[in-house]
Amino acid sequence: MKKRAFLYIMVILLCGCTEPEGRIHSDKKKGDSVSVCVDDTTINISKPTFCVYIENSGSMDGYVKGVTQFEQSVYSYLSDIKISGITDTLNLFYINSQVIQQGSDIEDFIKKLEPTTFKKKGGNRGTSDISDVIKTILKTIDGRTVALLVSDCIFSPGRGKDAEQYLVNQQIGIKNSMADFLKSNDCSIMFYQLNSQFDGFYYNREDRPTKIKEQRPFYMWIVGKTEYVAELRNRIPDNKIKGSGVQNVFTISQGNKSVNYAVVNGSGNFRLDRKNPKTNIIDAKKESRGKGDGKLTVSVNVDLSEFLLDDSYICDVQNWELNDKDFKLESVHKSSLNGYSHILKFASNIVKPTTLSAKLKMSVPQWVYDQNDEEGVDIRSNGAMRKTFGIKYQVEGVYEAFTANNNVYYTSIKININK
Amino acid sequence: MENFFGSIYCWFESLFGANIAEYLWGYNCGTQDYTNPNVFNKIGLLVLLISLVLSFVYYYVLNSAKWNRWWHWLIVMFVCGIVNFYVGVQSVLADFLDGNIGDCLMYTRDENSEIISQLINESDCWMFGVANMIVSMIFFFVLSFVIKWKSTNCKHTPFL
Repeated sequence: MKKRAFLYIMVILLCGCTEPEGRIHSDKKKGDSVSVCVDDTTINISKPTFCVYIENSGSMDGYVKGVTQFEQSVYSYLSDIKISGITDTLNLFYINSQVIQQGSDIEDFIKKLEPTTFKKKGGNRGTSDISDVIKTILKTIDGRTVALLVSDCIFSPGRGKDAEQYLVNQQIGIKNSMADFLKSNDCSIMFYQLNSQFDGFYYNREDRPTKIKEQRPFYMWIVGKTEYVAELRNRIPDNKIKGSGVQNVFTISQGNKSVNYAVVNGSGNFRLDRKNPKTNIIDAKKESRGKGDGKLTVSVNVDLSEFLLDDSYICDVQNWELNDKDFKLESVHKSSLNGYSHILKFASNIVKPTTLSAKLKMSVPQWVYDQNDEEGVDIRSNGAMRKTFGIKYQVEGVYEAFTANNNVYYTSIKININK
Repeated sequence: MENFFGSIYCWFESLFGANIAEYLWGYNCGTQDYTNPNVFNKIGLLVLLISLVLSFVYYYVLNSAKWNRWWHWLIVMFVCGIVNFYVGVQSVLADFLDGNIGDCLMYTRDENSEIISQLINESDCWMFGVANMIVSMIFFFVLSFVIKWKSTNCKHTPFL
């Protein structure tokens, strides 16, 4: 009897000990430091959760003094996210050396974006270890979470440090974190550059402050499952973001994807192979004089909509690589055919049996290098006011993670050509 | 076998053009594949049937000693050709006028989707009728030599 009672008591005690996973935050107060973003008790499993991180290191104070374009951009973007219905759960955080929860009230959050609030929230505001910040954020993302990081993205190696070595190490750290994340997650990234009034102290690479009141760039990293990021961009296009508006964009998705494509019937002097009409052409000949400049021409409809790429990127023939030097990609423009996003036009002076392959390259856009401040010493020299110290190292770190294992192409298409 | 009739019609593709041929093969501009019905098969079977009926009528219904010269047979063959010319024209012209032929087969468009040229014209539909007429006469000729042997008055027509 005593033994049975003892067993009953043990069972009751054991059942009461474990908290269900996900309730770990429900008793946490706003302002408490947290290690993960998602509270499972509030999740709508059909929609992603958005976790917004505003970096609150000392260098960010100048963006939130008074009402600024920074605040306008962030407020409008977060409001549009909420209104769009893409998510039912939007969690707000400050981030520096810690992640500090700020609830979900966007209006209240924006109203309190001031240097005094930043200081009050704590954490190590003296340095910006961006590699660590990105690593922390990646740990919070799962298949149902989209993370948005708003930051000036300025590295701060500190006094007496080898800045160049620091930047390279940060790049490697970002690459490693991202590469680890990509091993088990489908992911795409959008990286927006915007501008805002900045009234405060700019800290150079040695943490020496300079008081400035100028337009300065800031950035938004958006990281999540490709379908969520694509849906976000579809619902909130770049030109809808208020404030200064988006100045530049970098997007990247995982590569080596298969896409839908088909040869355009009648785009040249050839027949379609009825067994494989989308990919094989037969009886290929040069066009008659006065039409197609007497060349063999063939156009291909292709669906590149799953990649978060601007038309300007896709339509730049330099971003395509062909395997046959006798062929040239003459143009890429939007397709009007349902199910396809773009149409590629190829031409050749030589008619020969071949398998023509065209690959869309993954690359870092030129603006990242143009906007990179390599020195990070004097904000008032060499156009540094409009640039960001070390920005290219962050972007290259991400790029190298996505293109690891020789995955340097988004996709490739192949057309079999026969005479 | 599904390409049998199409293969025969394509001997005369130069008469009616490659774009009408693609349409009749069943090319669908939306899917960019041959996912529409093969119209060659439908027309080809109808032509074969008409040719068979007319040759049967000549050899076993008409079956007249007054009509067993080779030019009598030729007249019936031409009647077969005229009937199938009409069948061929109507098969394609109706779809042409109703706009049922896919846009990519009908027009070449530029980057702004403006029409550069029209690829199929009404005359191409009439020329398909001519091709259909020729094909039907070939069928009539072949069928004649297959079925004529039991005819009492015409088994040596047109020859042998």
